[in-house]
Order: sequence, then C-alpha cells, then structure tokens
Amino acid sequence: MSELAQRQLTELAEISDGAIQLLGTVTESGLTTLTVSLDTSGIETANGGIRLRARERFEIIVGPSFPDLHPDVNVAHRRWAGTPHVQWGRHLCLYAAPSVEWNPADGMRGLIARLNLWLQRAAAGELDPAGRPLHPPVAYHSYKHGWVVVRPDLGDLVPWTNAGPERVKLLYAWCAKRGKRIDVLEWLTRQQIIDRLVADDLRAQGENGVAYFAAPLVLISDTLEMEYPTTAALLAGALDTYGLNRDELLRVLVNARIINKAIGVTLEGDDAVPAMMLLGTPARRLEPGVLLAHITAWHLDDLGADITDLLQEVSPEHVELAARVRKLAHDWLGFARLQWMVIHEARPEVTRRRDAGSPLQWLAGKRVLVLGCGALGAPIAEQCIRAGVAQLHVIDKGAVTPGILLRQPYEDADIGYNKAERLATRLSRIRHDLTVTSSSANIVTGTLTDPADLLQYDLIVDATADIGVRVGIERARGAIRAEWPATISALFGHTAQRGVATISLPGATGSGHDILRRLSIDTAITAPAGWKDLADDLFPNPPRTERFFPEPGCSAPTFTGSAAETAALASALLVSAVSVLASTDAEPMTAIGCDLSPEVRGPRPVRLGWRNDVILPDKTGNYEVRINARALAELRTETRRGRRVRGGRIETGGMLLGSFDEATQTVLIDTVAGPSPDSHLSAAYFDHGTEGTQEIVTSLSTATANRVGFVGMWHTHPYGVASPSDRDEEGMADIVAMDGGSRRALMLILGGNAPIWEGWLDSGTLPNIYARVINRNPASRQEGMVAPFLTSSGAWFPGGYTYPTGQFPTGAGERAGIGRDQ
Amino acid sequence: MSPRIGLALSGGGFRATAFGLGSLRALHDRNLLPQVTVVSGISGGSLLAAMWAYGPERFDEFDDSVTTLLRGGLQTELARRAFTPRAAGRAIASAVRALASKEGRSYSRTDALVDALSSRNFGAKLITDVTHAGIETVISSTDMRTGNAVRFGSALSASSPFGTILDEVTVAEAVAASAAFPVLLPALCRSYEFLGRDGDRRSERLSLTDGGVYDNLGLAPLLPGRSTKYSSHVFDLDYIVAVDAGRGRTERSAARFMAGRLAQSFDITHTKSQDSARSRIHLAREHAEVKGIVHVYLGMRDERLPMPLADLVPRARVQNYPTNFAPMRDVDLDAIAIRGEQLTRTLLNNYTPDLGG
Repeated sequence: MSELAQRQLTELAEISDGAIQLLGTVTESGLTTLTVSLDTSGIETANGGIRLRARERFEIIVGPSFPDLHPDVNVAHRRWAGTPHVQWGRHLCLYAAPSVEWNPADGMRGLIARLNLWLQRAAAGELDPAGRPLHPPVAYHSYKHGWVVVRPDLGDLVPWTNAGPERVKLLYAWCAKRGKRIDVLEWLTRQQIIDRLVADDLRAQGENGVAYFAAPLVLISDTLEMEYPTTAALLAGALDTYGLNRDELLRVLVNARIINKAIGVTLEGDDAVPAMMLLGTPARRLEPGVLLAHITAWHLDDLGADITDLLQEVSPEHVELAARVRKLAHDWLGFARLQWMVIHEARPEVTRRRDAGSPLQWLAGKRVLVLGCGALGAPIAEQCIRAGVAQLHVIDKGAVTPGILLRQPYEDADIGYNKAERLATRLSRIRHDLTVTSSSANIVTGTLTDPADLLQYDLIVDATADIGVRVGIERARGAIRAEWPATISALFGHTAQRGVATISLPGATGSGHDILRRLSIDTAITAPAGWKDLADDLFPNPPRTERFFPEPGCSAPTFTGSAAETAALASALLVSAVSVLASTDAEPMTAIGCDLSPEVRGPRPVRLGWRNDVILPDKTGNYEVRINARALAELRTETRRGRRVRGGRIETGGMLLGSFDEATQTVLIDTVAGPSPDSHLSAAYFDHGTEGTQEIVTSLSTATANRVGFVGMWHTHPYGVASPSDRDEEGMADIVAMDGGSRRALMLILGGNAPIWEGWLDSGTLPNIYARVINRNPASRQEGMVAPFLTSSGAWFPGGYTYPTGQFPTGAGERAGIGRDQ
Repeated sequence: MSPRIGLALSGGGFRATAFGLGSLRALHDRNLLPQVTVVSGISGGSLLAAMWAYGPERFDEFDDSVTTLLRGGLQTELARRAFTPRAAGRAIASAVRALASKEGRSYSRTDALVDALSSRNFGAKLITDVTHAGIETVISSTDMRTGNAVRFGSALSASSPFGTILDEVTVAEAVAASAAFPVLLPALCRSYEFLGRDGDRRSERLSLTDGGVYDNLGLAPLLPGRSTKYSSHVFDLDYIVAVDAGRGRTERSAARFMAGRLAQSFDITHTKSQDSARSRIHLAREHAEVKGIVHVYLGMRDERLPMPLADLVPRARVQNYPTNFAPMRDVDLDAIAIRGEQLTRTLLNNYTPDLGG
C-alpha cells in the first residue's frame, strides 16, 4: 500500500505551499522510504527540548500493512539522540498507544499532524510533562534471555529518597526460577541474606522443579541515557560515572556467585540459574515528585558467567593468578554485548489494578467461603480469586458429570472427581500467592452443624440454590446473628436469564431463606418497578408444572441455559451483591434482581431493602416472634389513628398476618389489619368482629401463594400493662377453638406507662410488647363464655374507618379514672 | 437521613380539599407529615396545602379549621363580598375599563376570594411564612396572557418567561389565583415586579387563572428530571405522594346549550391533560425515577385496591360530588375524606412499606 501513502503525501505536498516537500522514494525489501522535508521554522526550543532547524528532513518508512499499521519515522542524524522518545538515536517514538492514537482513515495527513505535534512537544521539552507518569527508558530486551516478574515494592529501599550521601545501593533479589521465567520474591540486604543463610532459611530447591537463587540489584540515583547501553563497556562506563566502578561491579557479580554457591544453587549445567544482574534507576513516576525505580535485568553471557565464577574461585593468595583473572574480567567487560531480559512488572508501586473502580475491590483481602461449585458457585469463586481475596474455601459434595461441562468450568478429565477439589486445583493456579482449599462435605449435615467454624469468614456465598442449605443457614445463624458473616445467597430463574441475590449483613434478622420470602411477598401484590418479570420467573404463582430434567428419571430438575448466560448472570449477581456490601447505606437485608433477558425494559439491576424485624421471645419459650418494619409501622399507624378519632385511652387492635415457620420455630408477622367495622372498642376492652376479615386473609394468601395468612390477633392496652386480661385469654381461646380455625395463634398486646406509650406514638420508640403462642385446645371452649360484651351503645366505639358521630367526652385522651379490666 | 417526601394536592374544588384532608389524616397517622419537604397544590388542593403549611402547628387544630371551612363554604361569602357597595363600585368601574382597554377586570369575584381568604389566619400570612420547619410550598396558577405556569412558593415565586417575583405575595392571593377555575371564576389580575434571568427588572401584569388548566394534579414541579435551567422550582425527592381528586371516567351527556357546551369541551381538554399527568406518574414509577410514587386517586376503581376493605367508601358514592366551593354536608365531607384516608393508608402500606414506622 505504499502507493496510497505516496499519493496521500504527494497531495499534501501539493497543497502545502512548500511546507511539505517529498524529496525521494526508495522501495527496498517491501519497505518504502519516503524522504520528506518539513518546514519547522518557528518551533521554539524551551526546557532543554530538542533544537530544530528551519527545515528538517525525515524518513517515513511505510510497510506493506499501511494504513492498518502506522509508518515509522526516522531521522538521518543523531542530533536528538538521548532525548525521551528517540530510540536507537534516530527513531522517533510518535505513538505510545497506536491502537487508540493511530487512525488508519487519517493516513499520511494524520501522521504528519502527529509528527508536527511531537516536534512541538519535543522542542518545548514537554514529551514527559511533569506530573504525568514517566515513560521509562527503553532497553532492547529479548525473551530469548528469559523474563523476570517483579512483585515486591522497593519503597524506601531506593537510595534517592533520602538526601543522604549514598548514591548507589546494592541489594539482593531473592528469586524463583521456573524454566526461563524468574520471579523476584523479595528484596534482601546483604546482611539479611547472610542471616537467613546462617539460619538455614534459604533453600535452593523447591517443589515441581522450582529453583531459588539470589540475584544482585544495583540501584543508582541517576537515570541512564534514555536509550540503554547495548554493550557492557557502555554500561560499566555509565555506572562508573554514577559511583560504581568496574571493580565494584565485578565484585557485585562475584559476591552473588559466592552466596548462591553457599546456598547450594545449581550454577552449572542445563538447570543452572541464569547469571544476571538487576539494575534500578529513578525513571518511573506515577505521582508528581515521587520517583520510583525502573528495573532492568542484564543477562550475562556464558563467558561472563565463567569469568565471575573464576573470580570467586581464585584465592587472593595467588596474587598473579588473581591479577590475570581480574584483567580477563575487565577485558570481558570491554567487549561483551549486553543481553537485557524481559521485565514484567507486578510491583504495586508502579502498576495499577485494572479493576479500579469495580465494586469487587471490596473483596480484596477478605476471607470468603463459597458453598456450591456449580454454574453459580464456580464463576463466583473465580471472580473472588481474581478480585484478590485473602482466603477462599469452596464446598460441594457433588462430582463432575459429562452434562455440566457445557456450562460449568470443568474439563473432560474432571469427570467423576469432586467438583470442589477440581475447582480449587484450577483456581489455585490463577494467583502465585493463594492456594484455594476445598471440602466435599455435605453442607446441611456437615458444614452447618458446626457454625463456629464459619465465623472466621468475612463473607459466605451460598451458591447452592438449595432451599435445604438456605434453611440450614437460617437455623445456624439464628442464635448468633451478630457474629454471623455477611451472607450472599444467589439463585437463577428457570432459563438462567433472570436471577436474584440476597445480601444479609452481620446482625440482620434473616439471610437468604428469609429475604427470599420477604421478596416473594413484597412482589406478589404490586411488584415494585422492574420486579414483575423476576417475580413471575422465580416465584411463579401457581407454581411451574413443566420443569426441566437433564436426565429424566435420574436427576433433579434444573434451569436451562448456556455457559455464556450462566457466567454472565452469576457475575452480574456477584457484582450487584458486592456493591451492596461496599455501600454505606445498605439496609441489613437486601435483594438484588438481575434481568439479562433480551426483552427487559426499565431499570436493572433492581434492588429492595428491609430493615431488621423486632424480635421477641414468645412467652411459652417455644417460638421466636418477628414483627417486620411494615407491620410495626401499621401497628403504630392504627394506634395513632385510634388516638386521633377515638381518644387516647380507647383500645384498638386487629388481625396479625404472616406465618408460622415450624422448621425454624418462628412466628413471622408480615402485616397487620386494623379493627373490622363490627368490632367494639372501649377503654376497658377490645372485641374484634369478623366483618371483612376472611376477605383480607383470602386476598393475601391467594396473592402470596399461601406464604401469608392469619397468625393471630393484636390489641392495645394504652397507658396499661402489656399482658392479657382474663377477657383477652377467653377471646384467644375462642379463636384457636373455632371450627376451621388455626391450630395455634399468636396473642400480641402492646402497652406501657405514659412515657413509654406516648414515646411510641409520638417518636416511634418501642412500646412494651407481650407475645404468646396459644395452642388449640378444643376442651377449653365453653359455650357462651365469650358472648359479645354488648353494653349501651355509648360505651363503645365501632371499628373500621367511620368517624364517631358527635363529640368525644372532653379530653378523652387524658381522661383519668377509667378502670381497666385487670 | 430521613426520606424526603413531595406531596401534590390536586385541584377539584372542595371535593379536592376534603379528599386531600383524608390523605393528610392518613399521612399524619403514619407520622409522615414531618418528612414532607415540599407540598404542591392546585386550586382546591392549594387551599388545603395553604391551610396546612400556613395553618396551626397541631394537626387536630388544622383538621378543625378545614372541616369548619368546608362545612361553611365560600360561595355565599364570595357573593356577599363581591356585592358590597364598595366592591361593586370597583367592579363596575373596572369592567368598564376592561372593555375600553382590553385589560382584565381589576376587581372581580376572584378578588372577593382573595379578601375572603385574607380574613382567615393562614391567608393573611406572607407566602414566605410557613408554619412547619423544613417545608417548602408551591402554589401554581396559569397566566392567561403567556400560557405559562406562575408558581408561588415559600422559597420563591416565579414564572419562567419573566423570572422571579420581587413583590411580597400573600397566601390568600396565591391560593385565589390558583383556584380561579375558568368556568367558575374570572381571572385574577395582578402586576408584579420581576427579576429576569438576565438580571433585568421589569414589571408585568399577569392574568392569573386556575393552575390546573395544564396540570391539575400539581405534580409537575415534583417530578424528577427537571432542569433548573428552565424552571425555578426543582426538588430532590425520594418519594412522591400524588393526591388526585379526579373522578375517573364517567358518561357524559351532550350539553344542549352553548355555555354548557363550552364548559363541556373545556372539561374534555382538562380531563385529557390530567390523564397525561397520570400516565407520567406511571412512567416515573416504571423507571424507578424516585424510590416510590403513591398515586391516591379518588376515581380509582374500587376493585383495584390492593387489600380489601370491608367499609371502603365506594367511588360511586363520591365521584359526582361537584367541584365548587359550596358548603359541604357532613355526610359528603365524611365520605370523601374517609375515601381519601382509606386509599392513602392502604396504598402507602402497599407501595412504600419502608416509609414511616
């Protein structure tokens, strides 16, 4: 495509009025060199930038892949060698990131514009503007000589941070070698390495053929020329200038050799560790004013390795021999070519995490337990590893089967082996610093029976999508809510396009099982925005009859969906759930819904939160009574209404709606109703009627697929004791004794003295609450015992919404002297 | 931080005032009134908004003041005030002047409404003097000359073409302007000194009529996504409670006379604009633009109530109550207010279970 480049350049030259001149074209072995002259007059030099003549000549080298790849630009002279972004003395580095900076559509016009910008910046000395990350100098490295992964920070170890006299510093890199890859594990001073050696704390051989050794690191306080030396002579000369003469350089190499020999490192043969030296210069910068070490690695050639070996072997007593070896070494330094190894930086001080800004950063340093290693758990566990968790334990009792390979991250060779173990093995390979542990225990009958073990984690992810596990967690954490770790439970809809994650913080009333119940109820009657499709998918009412069995007759039902859908949904749920954990305003309990179906409308993901319930022991000691925030708000609203329309001393009450959960011995109160219109309300008693009550119960239980029904009765004892009167006992006995009534019912009484009672009504502080579960005992029913206590019509108010006609007795709220029935 | 609630009280004469009173009762019972940070009113709703925001501190006293006004009505008082010799003289003179100069009449029955409201405690107050701390008011009317909304409020009074109003405005004036429903009352003419967006001061004469001509729900200033560039009243809210005394669809029989037809065609346009405001509520809810929107709608079909109520006041009992300012009978007042309370309480419990408590 050099014709295109040539044509574009010719056209530019024609309209440039002499500013651009095409001087010549040479094509050689597929590369076309276009020599151009540009008018560069008027570009001012400042801040030590390059000097430009009135016209400058450039060689533009166009390859066969133009315009997909940008041409290279060289100059014929070496006047600009040594300035940043001039490589090999003649090559101008125009593009730091060609994938975003080079636009093929702009062609030669774009190139000339870029060159012009480069020249202006280079002349102004602004190619490396202060306060921007430094572009480090270039060393011409090759994988042939091996590659080095540098992990530990140097931090304050560098000599240039304190303004002391020390300009050069020597350290040792403790390295691990696997094939041609070298990992720097830690930086040690000469004294530290000797101490460790004496303590027999340094081993040369590790598992799986890993070899350990020490490599010298020379830190100098000045930057080398932007272009690194290509010969040992140039390097030694430069180091001499900066305070490390040739003898000292050789001593560094020899000392490393001595140390490695003492440790027992293999220095010869095919398994020999490389003879290498690391060099650090202050040529990196992320923040203004803070110079960080730029590290390069020099791989000594074989002769150099031999000479340093000789140097450390020759005894100083043999003066003449020593002198000859020393001369040999100096000669070698004079003619050896430098071999630079490839450096892969992983030092936190010079790198930035690519997940910056992701909510998953919350996971960094956390201890995480993942229950279930399937389509949900396996991707989630992997995300946790990559996000930098400090500990990960995975549990699954199942084995890898052929059918799951199409969507779960296992391999053919894993078939028949335990999922958790295979997952842990694979995930352990992702990071050098973390080994994932696993267990094939049964979660319900094993893991959850000893909850104390689980309290060490920061996060438990229940990815089993198994109701047994969810109930097990609920039961295990019930007694130790405050210490129980944050818990995420996740599950997929029937086509793995929609999913829900629940998040319970430490101290939350409930976790997955409980939150899913709340969610199913709150989305049943009128689903909040975005929840309708999710609720229809996850809580179908009536339940879905056609279910998917992967191996009909021999398997549990599951959802359908590919690896792409399950991985996307599992990841989406994890991100949303962790962002709740990372937020500062999360309610103790949250549900997140993610809808990845193509037809989704409205906001996503969607989020609902719940405050903690008020939790009371039942007086019989058998149940835990939980009143959720909505029910509590309604109790207070109805009581405040009673005070407003009937005066402060008149009792009120109504039905409690929720459910008895026998598995966890809990009475859940989800909502309450006020007094039915045919109720009788007075300062002395509360008789609940029946008008409309069945309609309310039927309406709720139908809408919620029987999750919510009648659980009992509540009433108030304003300014009184929160305990039942004889009349209250009779009323409750009557309710549980009714034909077709519930087997047991909860009696809830709200009361309290004036400060407590008014505190509740006016400020929302809790009143005294009495709660007792009453079991059905048909024998207790006596005919006529609870006949409506009808007195004269003036003595009571009706229930419902009607306003009392006429006036209340003056000051009904504060009236004294009304006797209670107890 | 406790959630911020915006309360919109629609127009619709005393029907709206009584229905809104029921709503306020339910909000009071749930102890949500202290979380209301802005109340917006139109016409009958602005009357209620003003009586609450500028009225007695205690809820029961406020409640009494509203029921007393509703039972007594304003219509007779307006007629009497409009025909006192002094007022009549002014009215006739201004009607003659209006004919000559094409300007609006300067003393009208709407002026009588201003006087009637001014004679009450809340009406005599300046619009800046709200009773409850932390609450802002917006009382909207329409300027017939530019067709733009004129919004009076405790923080600011403004109309977008002219800028902010520099004069002191009384609550009575704002409410009367908002309540001058075209078919019932003439427009209220007032001159105000405006400070424009460009910093210029100018005086403009406005011809103010019912704020519900465009937006009878009073909802527009509360909706999310409004830009301060185009509107002075923009609020950051978590929840919106829109109390809407609209009656829902009913059969119309064609009016036989010109005046009736005029009123009827106005009614149709008016209904259309309310329907579009209602669909805007639906959209805002669908897109979760705020945490929750509760639309308390007098004309809601009874069977759509999320929880059955044994003694629900049916829509049919109240929907045909007229939208005027005539004295209300106790049975009508109770029926409309109780329906307002029932709907508000049930919908709040259903749509915003996390509010209050």
